[in-house]
Amino acid sequence: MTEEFSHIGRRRFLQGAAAVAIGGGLIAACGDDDDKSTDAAGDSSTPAVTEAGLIGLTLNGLNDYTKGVATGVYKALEGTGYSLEVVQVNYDAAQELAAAEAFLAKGVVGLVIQPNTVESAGAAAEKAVAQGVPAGNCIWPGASASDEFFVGVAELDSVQGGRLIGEYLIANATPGKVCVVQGVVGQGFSERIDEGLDEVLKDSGFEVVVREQGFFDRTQAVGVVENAFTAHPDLGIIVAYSASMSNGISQWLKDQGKDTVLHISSDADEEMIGWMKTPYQSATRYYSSAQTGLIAANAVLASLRGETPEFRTVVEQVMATSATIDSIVEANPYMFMEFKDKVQNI
Amino acid sequence: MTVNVLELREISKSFPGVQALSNVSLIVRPGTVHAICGENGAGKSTLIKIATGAQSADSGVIQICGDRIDHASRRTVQNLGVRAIFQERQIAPDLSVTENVLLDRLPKRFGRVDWKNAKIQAKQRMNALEIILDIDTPVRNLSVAQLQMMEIARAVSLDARLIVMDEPTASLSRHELEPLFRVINKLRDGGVSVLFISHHLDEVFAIADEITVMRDGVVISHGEISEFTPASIAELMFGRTVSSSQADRMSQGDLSKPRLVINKVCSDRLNDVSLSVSAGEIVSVTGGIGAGVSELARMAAGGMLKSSGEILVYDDSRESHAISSRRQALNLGVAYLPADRKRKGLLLERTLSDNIVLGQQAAGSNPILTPRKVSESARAIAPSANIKAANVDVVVGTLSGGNQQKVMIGRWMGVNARIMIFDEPTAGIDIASKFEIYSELRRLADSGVAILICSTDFQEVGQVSDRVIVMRSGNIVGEVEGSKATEGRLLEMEMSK
Amino acid sequence: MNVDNRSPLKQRILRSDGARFMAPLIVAIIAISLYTNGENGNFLGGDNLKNILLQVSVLGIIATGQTLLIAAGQLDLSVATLAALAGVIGATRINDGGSELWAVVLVLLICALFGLLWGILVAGLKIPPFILTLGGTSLFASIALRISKSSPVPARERFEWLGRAKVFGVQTPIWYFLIVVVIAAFVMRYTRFGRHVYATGSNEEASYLTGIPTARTKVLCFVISSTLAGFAGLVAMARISTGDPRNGSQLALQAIAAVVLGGGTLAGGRGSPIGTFIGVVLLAVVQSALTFNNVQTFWNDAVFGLVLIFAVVVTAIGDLRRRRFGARPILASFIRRNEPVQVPSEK
Repeated sequence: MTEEFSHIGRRRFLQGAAAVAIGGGLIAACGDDDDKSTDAAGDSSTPAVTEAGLIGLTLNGLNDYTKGVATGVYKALEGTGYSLEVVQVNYDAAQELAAAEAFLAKGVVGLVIQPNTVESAGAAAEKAVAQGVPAGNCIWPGASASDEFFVGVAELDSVQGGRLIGEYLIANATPGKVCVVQGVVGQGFSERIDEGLDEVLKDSGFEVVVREQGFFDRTQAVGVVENAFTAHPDLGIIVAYSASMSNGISQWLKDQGKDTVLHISSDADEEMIGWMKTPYQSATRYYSSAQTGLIAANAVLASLRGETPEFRTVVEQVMATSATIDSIVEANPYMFMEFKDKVQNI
Repeated sequence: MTVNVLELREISKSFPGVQALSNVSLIVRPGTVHAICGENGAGKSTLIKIATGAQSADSGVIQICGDRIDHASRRTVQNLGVRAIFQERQIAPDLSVTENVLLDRLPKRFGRVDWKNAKIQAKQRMNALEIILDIDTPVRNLSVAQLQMMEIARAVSLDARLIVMDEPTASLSRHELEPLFRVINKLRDGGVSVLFISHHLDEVFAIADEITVMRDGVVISHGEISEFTPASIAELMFGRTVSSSQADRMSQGDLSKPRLVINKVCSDRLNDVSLSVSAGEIVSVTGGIGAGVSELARMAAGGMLKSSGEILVYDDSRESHAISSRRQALNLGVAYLPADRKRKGLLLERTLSDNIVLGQQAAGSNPILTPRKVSESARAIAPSANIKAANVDVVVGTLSGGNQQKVMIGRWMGVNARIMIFDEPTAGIDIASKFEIYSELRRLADSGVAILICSTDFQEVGQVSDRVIVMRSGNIVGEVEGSKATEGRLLEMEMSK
Repeated sequence: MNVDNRSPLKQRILRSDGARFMAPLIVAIIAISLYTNGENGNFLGGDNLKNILLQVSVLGIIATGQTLLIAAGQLDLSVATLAALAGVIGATRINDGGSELWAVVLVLLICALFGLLWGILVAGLKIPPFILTLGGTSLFASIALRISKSSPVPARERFEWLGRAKVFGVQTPIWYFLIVVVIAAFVMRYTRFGRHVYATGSNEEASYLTGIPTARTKVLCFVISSTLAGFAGLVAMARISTGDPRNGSQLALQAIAAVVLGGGTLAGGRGSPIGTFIGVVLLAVVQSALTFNNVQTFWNDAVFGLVLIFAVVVTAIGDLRRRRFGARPILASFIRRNEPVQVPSEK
């Protein structure tokens, strides 16, 4: 983590000169290209066509989810002349921007961002655009001012995700008390899931009695659930917004022998798929983290090839249950296993 | 007629359970030096705290330069030209002398500090007072005496009409008195008044024009200095006659039983120092600032590294042990009582009991130590050290300097220390308590303790010692018997080449 | 002017540091509990009592270690990531086929060694513990991530006795927490070492010159605190059956907050395990009350902040009064006992 990052920080100094040289070369190349294309088509916005080079990927942190994202990017680059370098930013917005700057100083030709916050990712993409480097966004929660800086985004409609969870509850559970374990409030994701969920559950008889942050942390998620059950012993439904938190909750439910609680999650990872085959987790709002990386990277590649990629590509999401999870994952895996080794030690 | 600089009328102040001041009145005329004398607890400190706005009075009137002050605060009083120098140092230890002297009035240029100018200003002010300090050193590195000179420089440098000093001479050596008096005289000549508290009657007579004597929160007497004699003031202060004769010498120590032997010790401040102290003997080492007596005290107690030489302690069976660390010295029965008790001796925020048993807690080996045991031994030691306090649970920081020193002595009586090393044993202690400390020292010596006193107070060492060793610049320059150690004789030895 | 008498027992209790610091906390705990219980009758039930203690058992063990350090005038920010590292090492050892006991002993040994290292660097080289342990925080986090390959290390069906078993109907982490607090309270109050810790924290120079082994005392405090942090990390790991390298990054500051709530001062010389226990319980009661009242998420931090500010302000007022008017107990001003308290006559 930090080790990796400071490594880059150190190298930045050494490579500053080289970066300036490469950057200068790129700008010069753009200039040449622009001249030609103005003659040919009059379209001055087409970026340079590049066949090889380094692509940078920033992950908002390091966990099984973000590793899945990274395999998606590897998958997109498979068979091309591009190489990939990955850093993670410890869930820190400032570090995210700094990492992107370090990549740009290093002379990457493309940047893929798995955002920490909408704003910091936008700022990073803006820097990239200023250097003529195309940037892709692995999770796009909705329109924002920074959209113009991305060549393509993987659109994950979190509001829709919340609706899916709500609809699943209405179809499969008897109305009662619900405990919601959010990820981190203030990033623009948990709030949107809340929005969709609340919209569907309104006047349905389901009542959210506890709604607290679990900070994507096992222990804290378990703490929220423990408190919730003490406050409301008749609690019957838990909705958690990430696999990392749900895995802790499932284990806790098992330890407590609570096998009648309906536990629903979001995302998926290897451990969770195991839990889904037990009574301790019933369903998850599934989408593939790998697919988000794949979409964002493909957009960057298309842009590098001189094409104009589709700006928004929707990430498929679906409610998966113990019966359907295996086939869903097989069709749309959360991690491309062939690259698993590469992302093990980022 | 001239307007009085400060006029206090019928000031009263009480603390829970104590009437600190009742109907106290005081007048300071312009261009005079006014001394307040009184025993500890007479209310002197409270009175000047009220005069300078640091505390508020329960009733009474304060007038500064004819203006009645209804809500005196430090700031309003300061703005009217009344400056105070308290015993508690008001310094920024990591800043330089320049910055501390000028403080919030550092000259600025283009919005930044004009260091060149600042240093010139600081230097000028120091020169005016004939104080010699390196203006670039962090204040942390100054001695207690130097710190006070710096603080005086700061207060005087302000445009003051009255300077209030709480025991300005308490921690100064004889050599530093003269410059201080010179400064006070200059201030007086310039029309500035000085109000100060002092225990040293000779100083009062050397410098004051008027005197107010207080006892138990009321003014006992006041008038021109010429109306009094030292003896009459002492009698007024204590309400009884005080013997100022030397403490009785019962024994001269058993010279055949050396306890502490310092043998050719050198360090960056000390040069080839050798001396010995026997059981029952009081040996003083004295000298001016820079003589190295304070360093010697700390080194003899094992609290400082030496570059060569040895410090030997002889136990009851006359076996010698070389001291290499403070803790080892403690286990050999060596006590150390530093000059700066507040910073280096006491746990100020803790209770008398915690402080007095600290020696036992450091020295003992039994791992279990119940609060009951602690309290019991504290209550056993406190009376034998003649400590005056409401009970052993009082916070030690609230005690007087004399009682604090007795707590320190008690701490070492509790471990039956065989060797006690005092650095400035009566620094910051009032005159009456001084005599108590002296007789305490004598009692300890009579009980067989070997006592080494390191002091810059010539009068003091002449009064209590069996032998006096004089040092200059880290070297021993002479030795004299206690009975012959007059101030004049010691000064002569210290000055002569 | 009579040293033979101790002050009356009642006064001593009212005036003791413990009463001054703990009274406002206990008042706060009672007030919050009563209010929340009015909203939801489960709050004051036995289940919630256990739940509250269980939630803070890990924090409590760490905070108890931190109490010793703070009383000695020291500080260790690295305990949180050291705990995470301990959990990861413990889980990894088990997965590699070691015995549970051996894994625990190994982890505690490693943590004690890190504590020894901090202690020697702080006491010997006079390095400020703040910076040193801040560095340690990142170091431990990195090592934990490396060992775990950035993923939580599962340790299922293991360490039951450490994190999930019950003794007399009470989960083992609660027992560990209580035992640690009781032992620490005993050590601080009834042993020579405890007195040395307070003396060192009150005035290190004076303690050293008196002959107290200040360096050794500081080193021991670091060793004890780190070992307790390691143990807490193992308990946390056992509780969720996973050695999570990112576990509890906020524990260090929470622990320091709890110590300060319980009467510790970062300047040293103060702080008691019992006070810290109450501080920890207050934090847990607040957290639990937020859940019970389903307070909106964005208010959570504000409430915690206000509780902390409330506690330090009340303590500071108590200190101020004590300095101005002598040792007058804050409790007395709450219950309006305004009889004059004896003050030593010399200021």
